[in-house]
Amino acid sequence: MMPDSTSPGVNRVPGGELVDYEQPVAFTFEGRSFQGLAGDTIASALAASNQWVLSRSFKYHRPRGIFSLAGWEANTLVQVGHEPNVPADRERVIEGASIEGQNYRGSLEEDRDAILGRFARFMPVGFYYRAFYRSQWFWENFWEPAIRKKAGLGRISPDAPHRYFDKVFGFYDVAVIGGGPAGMAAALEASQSGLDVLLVDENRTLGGALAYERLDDEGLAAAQHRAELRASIEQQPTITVMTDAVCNGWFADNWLPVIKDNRLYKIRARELVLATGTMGQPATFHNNDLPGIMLGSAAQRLIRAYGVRPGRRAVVYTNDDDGYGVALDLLDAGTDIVGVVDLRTEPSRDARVLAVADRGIAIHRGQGVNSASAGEGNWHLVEVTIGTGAGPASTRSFDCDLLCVSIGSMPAYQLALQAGARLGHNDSDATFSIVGLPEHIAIAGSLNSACGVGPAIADGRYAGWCAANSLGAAAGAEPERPGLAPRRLTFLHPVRAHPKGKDFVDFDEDLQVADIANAVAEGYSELELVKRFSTVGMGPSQGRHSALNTARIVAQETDRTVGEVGVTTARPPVYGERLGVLAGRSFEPERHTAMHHRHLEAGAQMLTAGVWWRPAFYGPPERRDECVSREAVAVRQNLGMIDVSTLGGLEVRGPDAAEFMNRMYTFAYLKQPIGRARYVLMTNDAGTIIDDGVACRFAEDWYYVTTTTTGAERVYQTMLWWNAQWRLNVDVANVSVAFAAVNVAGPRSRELLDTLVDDIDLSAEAFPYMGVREGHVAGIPARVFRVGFVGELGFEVHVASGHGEALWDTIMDAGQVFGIVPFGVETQRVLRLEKGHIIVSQDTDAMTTPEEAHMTWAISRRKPFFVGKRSIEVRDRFLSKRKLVGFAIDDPFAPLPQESNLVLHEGEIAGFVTSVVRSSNLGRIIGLAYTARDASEPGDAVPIRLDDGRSVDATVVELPFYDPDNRRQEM
Amino acid sequence: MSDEMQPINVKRRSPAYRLNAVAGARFTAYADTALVTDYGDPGAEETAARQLGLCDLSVLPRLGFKGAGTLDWLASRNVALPAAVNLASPQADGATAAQLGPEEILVLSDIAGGSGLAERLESDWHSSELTPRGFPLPRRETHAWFRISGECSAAMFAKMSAIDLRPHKFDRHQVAQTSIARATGIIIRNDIGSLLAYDLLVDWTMADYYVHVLLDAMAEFEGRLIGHRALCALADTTA
Repeated sequence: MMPDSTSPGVNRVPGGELVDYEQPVAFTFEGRSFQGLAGDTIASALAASNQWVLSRSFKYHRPRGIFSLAGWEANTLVQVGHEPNVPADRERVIEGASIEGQNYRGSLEEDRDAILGRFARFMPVGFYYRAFYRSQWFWENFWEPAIRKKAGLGRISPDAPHRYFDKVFGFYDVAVIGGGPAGMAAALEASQSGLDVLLVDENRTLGGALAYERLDDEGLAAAQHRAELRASIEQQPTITVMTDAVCNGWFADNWLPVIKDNRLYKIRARELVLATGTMGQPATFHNNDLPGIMLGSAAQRLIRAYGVRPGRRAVVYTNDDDGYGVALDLLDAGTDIVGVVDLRTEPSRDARVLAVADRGIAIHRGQGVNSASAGEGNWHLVEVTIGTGAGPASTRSFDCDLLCVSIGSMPAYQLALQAGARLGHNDSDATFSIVGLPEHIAIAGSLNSACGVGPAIADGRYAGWCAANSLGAAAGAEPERPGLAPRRLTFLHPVRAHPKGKDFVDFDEDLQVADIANAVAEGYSELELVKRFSTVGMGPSQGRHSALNTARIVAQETDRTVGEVGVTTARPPVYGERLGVLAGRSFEPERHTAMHHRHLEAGAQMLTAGVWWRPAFYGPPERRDECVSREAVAVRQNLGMIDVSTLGGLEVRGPDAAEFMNRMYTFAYLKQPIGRARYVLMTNDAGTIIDDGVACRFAEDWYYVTTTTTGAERVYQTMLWWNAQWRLNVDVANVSVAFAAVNVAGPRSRELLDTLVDDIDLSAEAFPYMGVREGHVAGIPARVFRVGFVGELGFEVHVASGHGEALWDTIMDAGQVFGIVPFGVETQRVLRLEKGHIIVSQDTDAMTTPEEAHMTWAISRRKPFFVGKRSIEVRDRFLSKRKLVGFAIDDPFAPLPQESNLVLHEGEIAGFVTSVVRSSNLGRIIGLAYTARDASEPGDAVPIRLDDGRSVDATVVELPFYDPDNRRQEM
Repeated sequence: MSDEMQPINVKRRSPAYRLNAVAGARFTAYADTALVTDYGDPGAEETAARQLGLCDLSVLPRLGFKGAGTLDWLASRNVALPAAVNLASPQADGATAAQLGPEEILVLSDIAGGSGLAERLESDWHSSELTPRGFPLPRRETHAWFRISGECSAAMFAKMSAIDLRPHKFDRHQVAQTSIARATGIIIRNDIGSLLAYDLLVDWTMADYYVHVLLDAMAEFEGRLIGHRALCALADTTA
């Protein structure tokens, strides 16, 4: 059991750039108290207190700790409070945080599932494909529950507190991704003529490798270069710097999702420079995953950024001169170096190499690490064994608690490849190249094989100039294109299976060298197939550390080169991202009528219709049926009012308005009298019903047309589309939201309106059914229509939206003496169904013709043309097998069918119910349904299959159910 | 104008009047409607407006014209027309004419509400015999109108719209007809003197939604609702 730590840490050393030594931060890890410093990451704070194990691996539950300290791998994913999968090597530790490791049963230290590692031989690659497919019973009762229990990383908490995430658009002339020397140089050059430049870096400060790498024996050069570049950036006002920000993908036209904190920046850049650098790669040897084994760059980050000594006795494993810089940094931090193991056989003259030798450090040339070992429980590295060229034969061992691996790297290729570039590999010198970049994207620095600070800066400047030049804003003449300085980015370390295994290629999935080789042996010789069979590269790391070694193994096993095998593709996101970033601050527009708040005040239950909110009925939800019935009875017997502001409204104006209407709708409109409304039915060019409403003619050249609530935009667009071809002299304007409207319905509606209107004669003779008038209601300018959907005497009053609430208030006040009640959409649906009116899109579908819906009365066949006419004529010659009918169920105790319940005919499915209600006015169940055409006559049986499988017998009845002579609405 | 009145006492109301009232608005009568004078502290509102302010101008006059003959007829009525679609043109009386299409113009009142241009044009159109002369559009009923002012206004819009509205990219009197918080709207850069400002016209029935969305987006910039008095004062001091 590790003790609590209440000091900043036994491994703390001075000089950490990102931490405040004066500000301790207390937190718990695995229930134990720790103390870090403000600015620490979780991983660095724990490392300072000698806590190196952060989590357990996914498959074998092996202890895992820091490897890259850059958030590149899944080893450091921890649970922070309610949040799972937080990368401990990037997340800052905060006061009071409660942190736990992940993926264990019991405790991080005593994980009962660690025993799985001993059964590795029974879990070869792809074992689940073989183990789980037989016996459905065994899968359902054993494997699936077991796998579900083990699957996933971390714990999702339903009690997680709400957090605020949002999104912001950003617009830049040039975006530079990567704030290392090349990226900074590119940004500076691109901004010389005042272009807006965005410089994004995932680290907390600019500098890239200059922030931790040792370029010279004294360790001063990197800091000097960095300081100069940063100072220049700060003096350039048109450069926006975003640090601690991740560009998590590339999308068309340089659309870049950049995540910083809880915000997603949706960046558009006219030009893009990628300077994302390279990623250090692991070496494959027995036990290469032990805590205490990390990239050399990770050790340098610990020292320089956080002031943490990575270990007490170290071995440095390298195949280039950078490894010697690591050794020097370790020495300066107080770590004993027991040896530098260099795969190269020839000595280098690099100053760092000479400095290491001068300080008496043993250098083992031509040697490589072939295994590591740990104490009990694989808790931490205790010994490293080396052999000639990392061969299987061991030559000697070292006691140590730190192994720094610096054996090569590969380009951080993800964004470039997402943009369409290809990753090439030169097999002769094991270098990479990124080729095939699309327009408006450039790469720079080590990503472009311009390695070393001088070449990187020169390459960055060149890329920045090119980006500016592409926008016509380059400053000065084209700089000389720097010669690239490729170095051996991949390594000499062989990838061969160790006899004892545990030579991990993919830390996320615990895949070993033999697993990849076995996948090839199974016949999966192509990289993409290997990936799918083995799941290599499919964990949170997305192949950052496994892609190259996998490609090398596949190449070896198939006698090809890495260039021939290729490296797997890259897809967004580059790093894991919080779901909140994707979901946060979503916009969900709502439309409220002018009377919306009056409905709420009156206790309405609201429902949505598209983006509109409408009152369903007024009263408590548990008394829905009672409320709807009460409202329906009031309308039939007395007086009701409903907000119909949501109806669409289009003004059709111009000399050709009548001709236009005649073409758009099925009925005849050329001779429609002024001051009259006429039903409109719209079909598409396939002859299918798509909308309906009424057309009110106010002048020879002026129609006001209503549409269904959700159909206004579609009808408007359809009208514009057709007239773009017809070129009729007509203007169509969508004024749907300009009007608020109230339908006053019921036998006493005229009596009520008479008290409010003095400039319109409301009598039946002067203002007959389907008449339209302009005048004033309660002093408010209004259009008044004698139309109704519910089948009673009624008036629809349309006023300017700003007047809507006042109109509602006035009618409601005036109606009190009449006992007026507001009614909602649910009630309206009952009333209109009693009247047999269809609702387009509820009672019609994508195939419904006017003939099927008994609406041939609304078609003028003498017109030469209307949209859909030809199709209707054809479809009327070849009638469908179904028909929309009214049905009734007289049994008062019959269960109420539901919309979409199936209608049967001779045991086969013949149609479905589109509308159904229990009508209190009629005392029976009524509805509309599609049924077989040869069973659609009044009196025919309509068997309906209910949700629970039972059937109920309905009978086809003549429509409408109520007031067949229309006397009530025309009174 | 008279003080101490409530929107509930007038027949024409702003779609955002309730939210204004909840925020402590004081109203004054304007024509047949009620205008937000202030939210209790005009001085603070004027100061805030320089950073980021939201003023509801929905009750002020505005009108549209659309269809063949619109531009010629408006020119005959001495309206200074913009040079192209998606540009606006200031009028001598402080009103603004924005061109939304080849034959479509939106006319906004001056912020003091005294220009009378929209009312005059509507009256003239109805009495005119000239054809074609386009058709009037009831923009006061189709669109709520907000004035968003202050140096942070472009940054605030970046949280809602994919159009680059920064002042050095979106010129004065430039117009954007675009998606704003997932619904369509019109943005007109209409500075108040030297102060950056935009007119935002959105679906009248979405005013509640937009006020909530705007205030949420404004919070990080310490933006706030401001009254008409503060806006007019700004016009005087920044001219």
